[in-house]
Amino acid sequence: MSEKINLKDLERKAFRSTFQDGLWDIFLGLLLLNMGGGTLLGGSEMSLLWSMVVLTLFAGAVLILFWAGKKFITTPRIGSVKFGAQRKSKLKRVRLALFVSVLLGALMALWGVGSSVAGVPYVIARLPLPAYVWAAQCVVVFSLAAYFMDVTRFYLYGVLYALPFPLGVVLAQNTNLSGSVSMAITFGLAGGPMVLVGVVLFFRFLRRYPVGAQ
Amino acid sequence: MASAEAAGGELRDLTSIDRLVHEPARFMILALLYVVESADFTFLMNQTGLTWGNLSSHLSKLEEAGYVEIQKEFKGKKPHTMLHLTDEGRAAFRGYRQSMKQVLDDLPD
Repeated sequence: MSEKINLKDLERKAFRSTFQDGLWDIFLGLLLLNMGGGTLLGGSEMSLLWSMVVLTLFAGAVLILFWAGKKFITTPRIGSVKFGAQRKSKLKRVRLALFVSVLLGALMALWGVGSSVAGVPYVIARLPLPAYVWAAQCVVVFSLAAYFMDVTRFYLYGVLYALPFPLGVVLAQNTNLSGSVSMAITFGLAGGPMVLVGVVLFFRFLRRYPVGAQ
Repeated sequence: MASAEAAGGELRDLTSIDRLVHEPARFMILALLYVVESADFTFLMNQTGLTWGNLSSHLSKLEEAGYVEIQKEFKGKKPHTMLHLTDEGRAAFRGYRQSMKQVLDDLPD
């Protein structure tokens, strides 16, 4: 039995080693900051269409940076590995949870837009449902990812992703700050530390695995 | 007396242990390749802490025995070496674990 545990630990350690470059942390943190920036743009005089274009371009740039970092910085240093069937099935479950989450997120966005459109019943429009559903789904999805991928800091990231939306609502209701500024503050406070953790991990990774050493 | 004889018998079983797997560095390489589908040379070097030369020499022995398959390819202009356990290597590692466990478990305290 103990041998089984040791082999599992070995596989887990090998899998975790692919997460020590900090790129996931930077990627997830920048996405949160992007959302914060989105609320600021939404509150500015920029048209909705242009705001969406700017946000999509920024998100795209973050995604390209993440991909390029993995391909040109991480892989040449730590090497590449294909994991076994068990790990692949775990990752499949994470992808499924992420897909359901994105679907739910899109529905909530539609709900939010729908609520602001004339003709939506007052009771429905007043429900702050998207904020709560967002928070719940973030905690659930990140917890599932942390569990199946064996990356414990994703539990904390679930909380950091969950809090900005409802806290932004509370901040806007209890201060003189506008909704967009409140959201930008809460999203910034959550995304900033994630990026910082990622940058620290990234530089530690670069020091630990100098490319010339291979 | 009887337990000493039994212990002697079990110890004699040790001679049937696969010496190719028994060497610590090779055992480490096989254990790593056992838990993944395939890995490249750099990944194995980082995970095992072996030097390039050491790893290369152990892999050659494992390849000769038919335990590991080495696939050399080019990624752009750079050579890239992917490694994976053959069915024979997987069976050898499993067999080694079982026989070591059996021998050690059967030894009297």
